[in-house]
Amino acid sequence: MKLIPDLIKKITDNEIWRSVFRHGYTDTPRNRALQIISNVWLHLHPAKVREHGTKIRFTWCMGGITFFIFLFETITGILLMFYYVPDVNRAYADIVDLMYVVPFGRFLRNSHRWGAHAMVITVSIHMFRVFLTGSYKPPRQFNWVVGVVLLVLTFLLSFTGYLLPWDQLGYWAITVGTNMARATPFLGHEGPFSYILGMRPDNDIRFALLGGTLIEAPALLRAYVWHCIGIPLVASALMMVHFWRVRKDGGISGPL
Amino acid sequence: MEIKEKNQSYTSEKEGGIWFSFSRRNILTLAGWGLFFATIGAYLSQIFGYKGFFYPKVLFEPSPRFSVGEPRAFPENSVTTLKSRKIFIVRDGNSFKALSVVCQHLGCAVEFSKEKNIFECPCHGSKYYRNGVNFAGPAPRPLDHFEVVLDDSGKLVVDTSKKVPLNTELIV
Repeated sequence: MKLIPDLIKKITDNEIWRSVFRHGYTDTPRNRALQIISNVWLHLHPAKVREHGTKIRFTWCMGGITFFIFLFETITGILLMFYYVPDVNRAYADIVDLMYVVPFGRFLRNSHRWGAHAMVITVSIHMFRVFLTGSYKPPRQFNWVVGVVLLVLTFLLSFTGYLLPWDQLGYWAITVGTNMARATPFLGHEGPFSYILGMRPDNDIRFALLGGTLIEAPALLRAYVWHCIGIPLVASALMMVHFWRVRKDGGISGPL
Repeated sequence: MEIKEKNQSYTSEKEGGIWFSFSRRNILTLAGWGLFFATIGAYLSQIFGYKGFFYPKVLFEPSPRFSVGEPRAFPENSVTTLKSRKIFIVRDGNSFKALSVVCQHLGCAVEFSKEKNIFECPCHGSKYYRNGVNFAGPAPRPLDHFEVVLDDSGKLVVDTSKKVPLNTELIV
């Protein structure tokens, strides 16, 4: 068993390794903190977490799992973009190709879809936990608000992704969803008070969402751009705020 | 705050260090990490591996093998340019050849000159005889010759994925 330690020493005991990983893994409280502080990927995370913060039965780890799924969806989504073109003549055929022809395509597409379902579920359970433990109370009120916005963004990601296969399911889901937007107060042409702003089918909020009055090529392109670029960017920025505020508001809330 | 890095070893004094301290206590931890990295590895190999996600099975490209019509469609002793297919069909009596239009110098499309009976490249002046052999200009090699066959319905079929030696010809 001496071989492995010797090998590790050979790999790690030189200047190149030390220039990348600045300090060793000798298990001291100080080094544990340094590993977090001096790592670009981990430095948003607090260097020290209270013991109850690591208790799975208190946090259910649902926020962390949600973030993990978000990363997973980003990776699988980028891969799907290699084969999918948001063009009304191609979109459905590209999905069929992914399902039946592209190597590993079916697995990636299904992963992306199930991941999306899972993310909605884990976000909900995360909020349920936060509610049950009273973690929305001061000083964490603002982070609850950020979380609610992230919940809405999660729904919007699911909603915009739904149209992309350009099949009957997505088409009618977006038909129903954007018909609801007609009834938006002030901004939808069938909504209350919309006459004040002079709303018509060709200038209301639904028109802006679809890029037209019908679900056609502009709607598909808009769903694609919002789904792949717009909403993920906003969600990423808000997640940074969310994690930062967890830390600034006193860490993960503890048992009362 | 200055961080001192003296005497810090990457393996602890005890056997194996913290990375490799095998004991029954952490067998499940090791199994968990093993499963995690096995999954990551499976994904990576399926995505970036050979014939994985980035190797499409179906191409939306023109087939390298295509029919160019019946032999009698080409006049005797003629050179016909099939621009979209990037080939010349050279017919001399009953002999048929398919030559590439791609110049062997830098890949421009050469043109056939009827008066001089040679191929000329408009870019850098390379010249090729009617049989595709280069004789002037910077071209280092003769033009590519592709396989020509006659299919069951009596039509000429060219396969640009199969190069043949210079003097190969199809006698019909």
